[in-house]
Amino acid sequence: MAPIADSARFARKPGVVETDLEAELVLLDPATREMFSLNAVGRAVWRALPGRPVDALAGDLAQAFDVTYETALDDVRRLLGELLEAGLIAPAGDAGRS
Amino acid sequence: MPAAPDVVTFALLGRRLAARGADARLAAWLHGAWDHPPCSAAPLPYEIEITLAAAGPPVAPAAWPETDVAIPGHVLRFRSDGHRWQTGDPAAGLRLELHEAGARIACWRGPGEESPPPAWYHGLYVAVTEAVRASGLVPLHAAVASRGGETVAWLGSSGVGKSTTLLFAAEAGWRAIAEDLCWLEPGTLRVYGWDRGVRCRPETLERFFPHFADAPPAPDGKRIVAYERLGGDAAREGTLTELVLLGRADGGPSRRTDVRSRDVVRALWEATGVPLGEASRAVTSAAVERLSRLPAGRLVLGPPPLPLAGARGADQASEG
Repeated sequence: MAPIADSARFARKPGVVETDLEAELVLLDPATREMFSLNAVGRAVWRALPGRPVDALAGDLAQAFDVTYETALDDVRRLLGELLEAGLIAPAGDAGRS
Repeated sequence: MPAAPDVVTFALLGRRLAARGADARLAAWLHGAWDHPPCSAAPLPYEIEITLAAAGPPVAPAAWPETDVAIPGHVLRFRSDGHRWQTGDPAAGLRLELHEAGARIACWRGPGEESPPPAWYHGLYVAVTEAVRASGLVPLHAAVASRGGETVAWLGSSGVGKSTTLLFAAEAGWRAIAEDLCWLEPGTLRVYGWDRGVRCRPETLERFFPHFADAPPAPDGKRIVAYERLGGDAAREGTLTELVLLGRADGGPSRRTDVRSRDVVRALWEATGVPLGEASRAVTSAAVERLSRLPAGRLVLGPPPLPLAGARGADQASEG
Protein backbone atom coordinates (compact mmCIF):
# COMPACT_ATOMS: atom_id res chain seq x y z
CA MET A 1 0.00 0.00 0.00
CA ALA A 2 1.31 3.46 -0.91
CA PRO A 3 2.36 5.71 1.97
CA ILE A 4 -0.34 8.00 3.24
CA ALA A 5 0.54 11.65 2.64
CA ASP A 6 0.20 14.17 5.46
CA SER A 7 -2.14 16.25 3.32
CA ALA A 8 -4.37 13.33 2.30
CA ARG A 9 -8.04 13.47 3.21
CA PHE A 10 -10.38 10.53 3.56
CA ALA A 11 -14.12 10.00 3.69
CA ARG A 12 -16.14 7.30 5.37
CA LYS A 13 -17.77 4.86 2.99
CA PRO A 14 -21.49 5.64 2.76
CA GLY A 15 -23.72 3.04 4.37
CA VAL A 16 -21.25 1.90 7.02
CA VAL A 17 -23.19 1.45 10.26
CA GLU A 18 -21.80 2.27 13.68
CA THR A 19 -22.59 0.62 16.98
CA ASP A 20 -21.34 2.43 20.06
CA LEU A 21 -20.53 -0.02 22.85
CA GLU A 22 -18.87 2.72 24.93
CA ALA A 23 -15.64 0.76 25.33
CA GLU A 24 -15.43 0.33 21.57
CA LEU A 25 -17.06 1.62 18.42
CA VAL A 26 -17.93 -1.20 16.04
CA LEU A 27 -18.13 -0.42 12.32
CA LEU A 28 -19.92 -2.72 9.92
CA ASP A 29 -20.15 -2.46 6.15
CA PRO A 30 -23.42 -4.21 5.31
CA ALA A 31 -22.37 -4.67 1.70
CA THR A 32 -19.24 -6.66 2.49
CA ARG A 33 -19.97 -7.71 6.10
CA GLU A 34 -16.54 -6.28 6.94
CA MET A 35 -16.31 -5.36 10.62
CA PHE A 36 -13.89 -3.15 12.45
CA SER A 37 -13.61 -2.35 16.12
CA LEU A 38 -12.24 1.04 17.19
CA ASN A 39 -10.83 1.94 20.59
CA ALA A 40 -10.94 5.45 22.02
CA VAL A 41 -8.15 6.68 19.73
CA GLY A 42 -9.73 5.08 16.67
CA ARG A 43 -13.11 6.50 17.60
CA ALA A 44 -11.64 10.02 17.80
CA VAL A 45 -10.07 9.69 14.36
CA TRP A 46 -13.23 8.19 12.83
CA ARG A 47 -15.40 10.96 14.23
CA ALA A 48 -13.00 13.69 13.02
CA LEU A 49 -12.35 12.08 9.65
CA PRO A 50 -14.59 13.98 7.23
CA GLY A 51 -12.71 16.93 5.82
CA ARG A 52 -9.61 16.72 8.04
CA PRO A 53 -6.20 16.04 6.47
CA VAL A 54 -3.95 13.44 8.04
CA ASP A 55 -1.62 15.95 9.69
CA ALA A 56 -4.55 17.76 11.30
CA LEU A 57 -5.94 14.47 12.57
CA ALA A 58 -2.56 13.70 14.12
CA GLY A 59 -2.46 17.15 15.72
CA ASP A 60 -5.93 16.63 17.20
CA LEU A 61 -4.89 13.25 18.53
CA ALA A 62 -1.63 14.48 20.06
CA GLN A 63 -3.53 17.14 21.94
CA ALA A 64 -6.41 14.96 23.05
CA PHE A 65 -4.34 11.99 24.20
CA ASP A 66 -1.19 13.77 25.38
CA VAL A 67 1.23 12.00 23.03
CA THR A 68 3.87 13.39 20.70
CA TYR A 69 2.84 14.50 17.23
CA GLU A 70 5.08 11.85 15.69
CA THR A 71 3.47 9.08 17.72
CA ALA A 72 0.02 10.37 16.83
CA LEU A 73 0.93 10.58 13.14
CA ASP A 74 2.11 6.96 13.16
CA ASP A 75 -1.12 5.88 14.84
CA VAL A 76 -3.28 7.82 12.39
CA ARG A 77 -1.44 6.45 9.35
CA ARG A 78 -1.67 2.88 10.65
CA LEU A 79 -5.36 3.18 11.45
CA LEU A 80 -6.21 4.81 8.11
CA GLY A 81 -4.25 2.11 6.32
CA GLU A 82 -6.27 -0.57 8.07
CA LEU A 83 -9.57 1.20 7.38
CA LEU A 84 -8.60 1.61 3.72
CA GLU A 85 -7.76 -2.07 3.50
CA ALA A 86 -11.10 -2.93 5.07
CA GLY A 87 -12.85 -0.71 2.52
CA LEU A 88 -14.45 1.41 5.23
CA ILE A 89 -12.90 4.67 4.02
CA ALA A 90 -11.71 6.01 0.69
CA PRO A 91 -9.69 9.01 -0.42
CA ALA A 92 -11.98 12.03 -0.20
CA GLY A 93 -13.98 12.27 -3.39
CA ASP A 94 -13.76 8.55 -4.04
CA ALA A 95 -15.95 7.24 -1.21
CA GLY A 96 -18.68 4.98 -2.46
CA ARG A 97 -17.31 4.72 -5.98
CA SER A 98 -15.96 1.22 -5.66
CA MET B 1 -59.35 -10.40 -11.86
CA PRO B 2 -61.75 -10.90 -8.91
CA ALA B 3 -63.19 -7.82 -7.31
CA ALA B 4 -61.80 -6.58 -4.02
CA PRO B 5 -62.83 -3.90 -1.56
CA ASP B 6 -61.75 -0.51 -2.83
CA VAL B 7 -59.98 0.25 0.42
CA VAL B 8 -58.25 -2.38 2.50
CA THR B 9 -57.51 -1.09 5.97
CA PHE B 10 -56.35 -2.62 9.22
CA ALA B 11 -54.19 -1.92 12.28
CA LEU B 12 -50.54 -2.88 12.02
CA LEU B 13 -48.61 -2.86 15.31
CA GLY B 14 -50.52 0.21 16.48
CA ARG B 15 -50.12 1.93 13.12
CA ARG B 16 -52.70 2.00 10.33
CA LEU B 17 -52.34 0.50 6.90
CA ALA B 18 -54.72 1.60 4.15
CA ALA B 19 -54.53 0.32 0.59
CA ARG B 20 -56.55 1.98 -2.14
CA GLY B 21 -57.27 0.42 -5.50
CA ALA B 22 -56.08 -2.98 -4.33
CA ASP B 23 -57.30 -5.91 -6.39
CA ALA B 24 -58.15 -9.22 -4.73
CA ARG B 25 -54.64 -10.59 -5.09
CA LEU B 26 -53.01 -7.60 -3.47
CA ALA B 27 -55.67 -7.50 -0.74
CA ALA B 28 -55.03 -11.16 0.07
CA TRP B 29 -51.28 -10.59 0.14
CA LEU B 30 -51.61 -7.60 2.47
CA HIS B 31 -53.81 -9.51 4.90
CA GLY B 32 -51.52 -12.54 4.80
CA ALA B 33 -48.30 -10.63 5.33
CA TRP B 34 -49.32 -7.74 7.55
CA ASP B 35 -52.76 -8.17 9.13
CA HIS B 36 -52.03 -9.76 12.49
CA PRO B 37 -54.14 -9.89 15.63
CA PRO B 38 -54.03 -6.85 17.87
CA CYS B 39 -51.06 -6.47 20.18
CA SER B 40 -50.28 -4.05 22.98
CA ALA B 41 -47.96 -1.88 20.86
CA ALA B 42 -48.67 1.75 21.75
CA PRO B 43 -51.01 3.33 19.19
CA LEU B 44 -49.33 5.86 16.96
CA PRO B 45 -50.99 8.26 14.51
CA TYR B 46 -48.99 6.91 11.62
CA GLU B 47 -50.50 5.72 8.35
CA ILE B 48 -48.97 3.56 5.69
CA GLU B 49 -50.89 4.47 2.55
CA ILE B 50 -50.65 2.12 -0.41
CA THR B 51 -52.12 2.90 -3.80
CA LEU B 52 -52.28 0.63 -6.80
CA ALA B 53 -52.53 2.18 -10.24
CA ALA B 54 -52.01 1.15 -13.84
CA ALA B 55 -49.10 3.50 -14.29
CA GLY B 56 -46.44 4.73 -11.98
CA PRO B 57 -44.81 8.07 -11.35
CA PRO B 58 -42.06 9.22 -13.67
CA VAL B 59 -39.12 6.87 -13.80
CA ALA B 60 -36.61 7.51 -11.05
CA PRO B 61 -33.90 9.80 -12.37
CA ALA B 62 -30.74 8.01 -13.32
CA ALA B 63 -28.95 10.41 -10.99
CA TRP B 64 -30.55 8.73 -8.00
CA PRO B 65 -27.92 6.39 -6.58
CA GLU B 66 -28.66 2.70 -6.74
CA THR B 67 -28.81 0.59 -3.64
CA ASP B 68 -29.22 -3.16 -3.45
CA VAL B 69 -31.40 -4.69 -0.77
CA ALA B 70 -30.80 -8.32 0.05
CA ILE B 71 -33.69 -10.37 1.35
CA PRO B 72 -33.63 -14.14 1.68
CA GLY B 73 -33.10 -15.55 -1.79
CA HIS B 74 -33.35 -12.22 -3.61
CA VAL B 75 -31.55 -8.96 -4.20
CA LEU B 76 -33.70 -5.96 -5.10
CA ARG B 77 -32.30 -2.86 -6.72
CA PHE B 78 -33.71 0.49 -5.61
CA ARG B 79 -32.91 3.99 -6.77
CA SER B 80 -33.16 6.67 -4.12
CA ASP B 81 -32.64 10.36 -3.54
CA GLY B 82 -32.56 9.78 0.21
CA HIS B 83 -36.27 10.45 0.70
CA ARG B 84 -37.84 8.38 -2.04
CA TRP B 85 -37.05 4.84 -3.03
CA GLN B 86 -38.14 3.30 -6.30
CA THR B 87 -37.82 -0.18 -7.71
CA GLY B 88 -39.19 -2.00 -10.73
CA ASP B 89 -39.78 -0.85 -14.29
CA PRO B 90 -42.59 0.83 -16.24
CA ALA B 91 -44.55 -2.44 -16.29
CA ALA B 92 -44.51 -3.09 -12.55
CA GLY B 93 -42.87 -1.26 -9.70
CA LEU B 94 -43.33 0.91 -6.67
CA ARG B 95 -42.14 4.10 -5.08
CA LEU B 96 -41.90 4.66 -1.34
CA GLU B 97 -42.02 8.14 0.16
CA LEU B 98 -41.64 8.76 3.86
CA HIS B 99 -43.04 11.76 5.66
CA GLU B 100 -43.45 12.74 9.27
CA ALA B 101 -46.83 11.15 9.93
CA GLY B 102 -46.63 8.18 7.66
CA ALA B 103 -45.53 6.65 4.40
CA ARG B 104 -46.90 6.55 0.89
CA ILE B 105 -46.26 3.57 -1.32
CA ALA B 106 -47.35 4.10 -4.91
CA CYS B 107 -47.52 0.76 -6.72
CA TRP B 108 -48.19 0.19 -10.38
CA ARG B 109 -48.85 -2.73 -12.62
CA GLY B 110 -49.60 -2.25 -16.27
CA PRO B 111 -52.74 -3.74 -17.86
CA GLY B 112 -50.74 -6.70 -19.08
CA GLU B 113 -49.37 -7.42 -15.64
CA GLU B 114 -52.15 -9.59 -14.22
CA SER B 115 -49.55 -11.66 -12.39
CA PRO B 116 -46.74 -9.41 -11.24
CA PRO B 117 -43.38 -11.03 -10.77
CA PRO B 118 -42.45 -12.19 -7.27
CA ALA B 119 -39.95 -9.33 -7.10
CA TRP B 120 -42.90 -6.91 -7.09
CA TYR B 121 -44.21 -8.44 -3.85
CA HIS B 122 -40.68 -8.61 -2.42
CA GLY B 123 -40.33 -4.90 -3.17
CA LEU B 124 -43.65 -4.17 -1.50
CA TYR B 125 -42.59 -6.17 1.54
CA VAL B 126 -39.36 -4.17 1.79
CA ALA B 127 -41.28 -0.90 1.40
CA VAL B 128 -43.84 -1.70 4.12
CA THR B 129 -41.03 -2.91 6.38
CA GLU B 130 -39.17 0.35 5.84
CA ALA B 131 -42.33 2.31 6.62
CA VAL B 132 -42.82 0.43 9.88
CA ARG B 133 -39.15 0.96 10.70
CA ALA B 134 -39.51 4.68 10.05
CA SER B 135 -42.38 4.72 12.55
CA GLY B 136 -39.99 3.53 15.25
CA LEU B 137 -40.16 -0.27 15.31
CA VAL B 138 -37.32 -2.60 14.37
CA PRO B 139 -37.72 -6.07 12.89
CA LEU B 140 -35.72 -8.74 14.67
CA HIS B 141 -35.18 -12.13 13.09
CA ALA B 142 -34.85 -14.38 16.10
CA ALA B 143 -36.54 -17.14 18.01
CA VAL B 144 -37.89 -15.68 21.23
CA ALA B 145 -39.37 -17.29 24.33
CA SER B 146 -40.15 -16.25 27.85
CA ARG B 147 -40.00 -17.96 31.20
CA GLY B 148 -39.91 -16.85 34.81
CA GLY B 149 -39.50 -13.17 34.11
CA GLU B 150 -36.82 -13.54 31.46
CA THR B 151 -37.24 -13.30 27.72
CA VAL B 152 -34.47 -14.70 25.56
CA ALA B 153 -33.83 -14.05 21.86
CA TRP B 154 -31.91 -16.82 20.10
CA LEU B 155 -30.12 -15.33 17.08
CA GLY B 156 -28.60 -17.06 14.12
CA SER B 157 -28.66 -17.43 10.37
CA SER B 158 -31.35 -19.36 8.58
CA GLY B 159 -31.05 -23.08 9.20
CA VAL B 160 -28.88 -22.86 12.30
CA GLY B 161 -31.61 -24.20 14.58
CA LYS B 162 -33.79 -21.35 15.82
CA SER B 163 -37.04 -23.26 15.34
CA THR B 164 -35.70 -26.43 16.92
CA THR B 165 -34.38 -24.46 19.89
CA LEU B 166 -37.75 -22.79 20.30
CA LEU B 167 -39.56 -26.13 20.25
CA PHE B 168 -37.18 -27.55 22.86
CA ALA B 169 -37.75 -24.46 24.96
CA ALA B 170 -41.52 -24.80 24.65
CA GLU B 171 -41.26 -28.45 25.70
CA ALA B 172 -39.34 -27.26 28.78
CA GLY B 173 -42.11 -24.88 29.74
CA TRP B 174 -41.00 -21.68 28.04
CA ARG B 175 -43.68 -19.53 26.40
CA ALA B 176 -43.00 -19.27 22.67
CA ILE B 177 -43.13 -15.72 21.32
CA ALA B 178 -41.51 -15.96 17.90
CA GLU B 179 -39.89 -18.57 15.73
CA ASP B 180 -38.17 -16.27 13.26
CA LEU B 181 -39.53 -12.74 13.33
CA CYS B 182 -40.69 -10.26 15.91
CA TRP B 183 -40.96 -6.47 16.01
CA LEU B 184 -39.03 -4.60 18.65
CA GLU B 185 -39.80 -1.33 20.44
CA PRO B 186 -36.24 -0.07 20.98
CA GLY B 187 -37.11 2.15 23.94
CA THR B 188 -38.67 -0.62 25.99
CA LEU B 189 -37.13 -3.74 24.39
CA ARG B 190 -40.70 -5.02 24.09
CA VAL B 191 -41.03 -7.58 21.31
CA TYR B 192 -44.14 -8.70 19.45
CA GLY B 193 -44.10 -12.12 17.82
CA TRP B 194 -44.92 -11.82 14.14
CA ASP B 195 -44.86 -15.26 12.56
CA ARG B 196 -48.00 -17.36 12.36
CA GLY B 197 -46.54 -20.68 13.44
CA VAL B 198 -43.28 -22.50 14.06
CA ARG B 199 -41.84 -23.71 10.76
CA CYS B 200 -39.70 -26.79 11.18
CA ARG B 201 -38.26 -29.45 8.91
CA PRO B 202 -40.31 -32.69 8.89
CA GLU B 203 -37.29 -34.81 9.80
CA THR B 204 -36.63 -32.64 12.86
CA LEU B 205 -40.22 -33.07 14.01
CA GLU B 206 -40.10 -36.83 13.46
CA ARG B 207 -36.83 -37.14 15.35
CA PHE B 208 -37.40 -34.88 18.34
CA PHE B 209 -41.08 -33.90 18.37
CA PRO B 210 -43.06 -36.79 16.86
CA HIS B 211 -46.24 -35.51 18.47
CA PHE B 212 -46.05 -32.56 16.07
CA ALA B 213 -45.23 -34.61 12.97
CA ASP B 214 -48.81 -34.22 11.76
CA ALA B 215 -48.43 -30.41 11.53
CA PRO B 216 -49.61 -29.03 8.17
CA PRO B 217 -47.03 -28.45 5.46
CA ALA B 218 -45.79 -25.05 4.34
CA PRO B 219 -45.08 -24.22 0.68
CA ASP B 220 -41.34 -24.59 1.29
CA GLY B 221 -41.67 -28.19 2.47
CA LYS B 222 -41.37 -27.40 6.15
CA ARG B 223 -44.22 -28.01 8.55
CA ILE B 224 -45.99 -25.35 10.57
CA VAL B 225 -46.68 -26.06 14.22
CA ALA B 226 -49.40 -23.73 15.48
CA TYR B 227 -48.47 -21.71 18.54
CA GLU B 228 -51.66 -22.93 20.22
CA ARG B 229 -50.18 -26.44 20.28
CA LEU B 230 -47.19 -25.22 22.29
CA GLY B 231 -49.30 -24.33 25.31
CA GLY B 232 -48.98 -21.20 27.39
CA ASP B 233 -51.11 -18.11 27.04
CA ALA B 234 -51.94 -16.52 23.74
CA ALA B 235 -50.02 -13.27 24.22
CA ARG B 236 -46.93 -13.52 22.09
CA GLU B 237 -45.12 -10.57 23.61
CA GLY B 238 -42.29 -10.06 26.05
CA THR B 239 -39.52 -7.71 27.14
CA LEU B 240 -36.08 -8.92 26.09
CA THR B 241 -33.63 -9.68 28.89
CA GLU B 242 -30.96 -11.80 27.19
CA LEU B 243 -29.45 -12.62 23.80
CA VAL B 244 -28.07 -15.99 22.80
CA LEU B 245 -26.17 -16.56 19.55
CA LEU B 246 -26.75 -20.00 18.10
CA GLY B 247 -23.98 -22.04 16.52
CA ARG B 248 -23.49 -25.60 15.39
CA ALA B 249 -21.48 -28.06 17.48
CA ASP B 250 -18.54 -29.79 15.86
CA GLY B 251 -19.62 -33.22 17.11
CA GLY B 252 -19.53 -32.24 20.76
CA PRO B 253 -22.37 -31.80 23.21
CA SER B 254 -24.69 -28.84 23.35
CA ARG B 255 -23.11 -26.20 25.56
CA ARG B 256 -23.06 -22.54 26.52
CA THR B 257 -19.97 -20.44 25.83
CA ASP B 258 -19.00 -16.81 26.07
CA VAL B 259 -19.38 -14.49 23.12
CA ARG B 260 -17.49 -11.37 22.02
CA SER B 261 -19.30 -8.04 21.88
CA ARG B 262 -18.50 -7.57 18.22
CA ASP B 263 -20.00 -10.97 17.40
CA VAL B 264 -23.18 -9.89 19.17
CA VAL B 265 -23.19 -6.67 17.15
CA ARG B 266 -22.78 -8.55 13.88
CA ALA B 267 -25.54 -11.00 14.80
CA LEU B 268 -27.85 -8.14 15.73
CA TRP B 269 -27.32 -6.26 12.46
CA GLU B 270 -27.94 -9.49 10.58
CA ALA B 271 -31.08 -10.05 12.64
CA THR B 272 -32.43 -6.54 12.13
CA GLY B 273 -31.29 -6.00 8.57
CA VAL B 274 -29.98 -2.67 7.40
CA PRO B 275 -32.70 -0.11 6.64
CA LEU B 276 -32.95 1.92 3.46
CA GLY B 277 -33.10 5.39 4.99
CA GLU B 278 -30.92 7.38 7.34
CA ALA B 279 -33.72 7.99 9.87
CA SER B 280 -34.67 4.35 10.20
CA ARG B 281 -30.98 3.45 10.17
CA ALA B 282 -30.51 5.66 13.22
CA VAL B 283 -33.46 3.96 14.95
CA THR B 284 -31.99 0.55 14.19
CA SER B 285 -28.52 1.61 15.27
CA ALA B 286 -29.87 2.79 18.62
CA ALA B 287 -31.74 -0.50 19.00
CA VAL B 288 -28.61 -2.52 18.25
CA GLU B 289 -26.63 -0.50 20.79
CA ARG B 290 -29.29 -1.01 23.44
CA LEU B 291 -29.60 -4.73 22.72
CA SER B 292 -25.82 -5.10 22.75
CA ARG B 293 -25.81 -4.18 26.44
CA LEU B 294 -28.05 -7.11 27.41
CA PRO B 295 -26.43 -10.21 28.90
CA ALA B 296 -25.34 -12.37 25.98
CA GLY B 297 -23.85 -15.77 25.38
CA ARG B 298 -23.50 -18.44 22.74
CA LEU B 299 -25.39 -21.72 22.59
CA VAL B 300 -23.52 -24.36 20.62
CA LEU B 301 -26.16 -26.76 19.35
CA GLY B 302 -25.44 -30.44 19.53
CA PRO B 303 -27.56 -33.34 20.70
CA PRO B 304 -30.21 -32.58 23.34
CA PRO B 305 -30.58 -31.68 26.12
CA LEU B 306 -29.99 -28.03 25.31
CA PRO B 307 -28.69 -25.78 28.09
CA LEU B 308 -31.33 -23.09 27.76
CA ALA B 309 -30.44 -21.46 31.07
CA GLY B 310 -31.03 -17.76 30.99
CA ALA B 311 -28.98 -15.16 32.78
CA ARG B 312 -31.28 -15.38 35.77
CA GLY B 313 -32.25 -19.02 35.78
CA ALA B 314 -31.13 -22.55 35.11
CA ASP B 315 -32.93 -25.34 33.42
CA GLN B 316 -32.35 -27.94 30.78
CA ALA B 317 -34.64 -28.90 27.95
CA SER B 318 -34.80 -32.63 27.79
CA GLU B 319 -35.24 -34.67 24.68
CA GLY B 320 -38.85 -34.80 23.56
